[in-house]
Amino acid sequence: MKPLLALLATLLISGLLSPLWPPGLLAPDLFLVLALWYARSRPYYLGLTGAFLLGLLQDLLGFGLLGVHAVGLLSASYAFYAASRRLAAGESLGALFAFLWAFLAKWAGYFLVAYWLRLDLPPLVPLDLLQEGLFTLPFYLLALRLAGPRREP
Amino acid sequence: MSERALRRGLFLFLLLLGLTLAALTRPLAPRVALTLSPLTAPLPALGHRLGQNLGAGLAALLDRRDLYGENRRLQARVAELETENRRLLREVERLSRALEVRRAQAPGVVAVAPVVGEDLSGLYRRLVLGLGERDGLRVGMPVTAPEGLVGLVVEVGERQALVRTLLDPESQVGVRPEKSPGRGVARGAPPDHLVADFPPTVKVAPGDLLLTGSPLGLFPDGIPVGRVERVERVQGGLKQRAWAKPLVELSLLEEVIVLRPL
Repeated sequence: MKPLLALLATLLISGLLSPLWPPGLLAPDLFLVLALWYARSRPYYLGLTGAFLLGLLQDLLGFGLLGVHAVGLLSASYAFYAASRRLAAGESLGALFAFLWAFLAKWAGYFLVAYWLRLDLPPLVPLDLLQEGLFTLPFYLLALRLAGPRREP
Repeated sequence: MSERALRRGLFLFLLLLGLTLAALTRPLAPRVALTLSPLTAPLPALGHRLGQNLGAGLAALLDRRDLYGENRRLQARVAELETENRRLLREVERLSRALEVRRAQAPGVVAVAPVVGEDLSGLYRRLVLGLGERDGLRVGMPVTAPEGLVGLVVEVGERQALVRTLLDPESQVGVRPEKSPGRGVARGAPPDHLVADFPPTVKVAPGDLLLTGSPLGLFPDGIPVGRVERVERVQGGLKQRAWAKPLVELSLLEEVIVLRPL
């Protein structure tokens, strides 16, 4: 029930932010936040599958290629698990590092699909990625706070 | 098999699934999403609508703050425009009068001049105009109003001019009755009358309108001067004298029209 409510809230807030967000800036990726929040307290087979399905939903909502966000979120989730295994639970620095690792993995996933399909890469500059990461991070920290203490998957 | 290997296996499986899905559905990409959009879109659309309303509300709040300043600016502007409008209305009235004079009396309007003063001596009946030599006024120019003749410019300064009115005792205007032939000379008879002397053969009666004639050559022909109130015989019947009331109320004049001299 809780994941479903979180999904509904993500959809609602994503829709809400899009008209309010200043034009020209990448909006925070709330689906990434949701995928990481879900992966944080679930075993890997649920977390990876959930991230994949969530990415597919994001693809459908974005009217884009099916699989781009799915692979992105899957990669992020996998990286998040890999980072979390090496970090002590509850450490804020560890949480930051895990987020950073997942965020980079997400973009690596996007680029992998783009390479796989020989797509033209969007004209993004590192500053855009940095912006998205910085805007997404507060939502991630908020989600951690709302989720409470971590349960070991 | 270790958990790590399982995790890697699942990741690779899903990764391949994603890549395959992307490759297979590439030609159908927007169509699939559009087909499923009735299922997926409502909640984000609701959020989007909510965000739009919020944005509009915020914009309205910010605009409202600006409205006070804008309102003050507009009020000041309206006051300024009202003043300008009043000035233009006066200008239109003035020019309309000038046009009327031009149409009815003479084509040669030189200026529309404000009356800024009056001779206070009681002996003469003269007006001071707010325009002078700089504005093209010259001695000898006839001065009229829409109702009728006012007088003649007799002195011009740089910015002011003196008008000798019909009522001035030194004023002499060649006049004729409107409906009958004959010429006479009208002189001022302060405080508010004209005395016009005619030969006894001229038919003039109370109620007749006197117009400017041209024997003295100072005024254009046909400008209304006054209306006869009474007629009397003088000098043993050798002349008839008509007492007339000027058509122009000199004390109420605010503006006059100065004509080109003949």
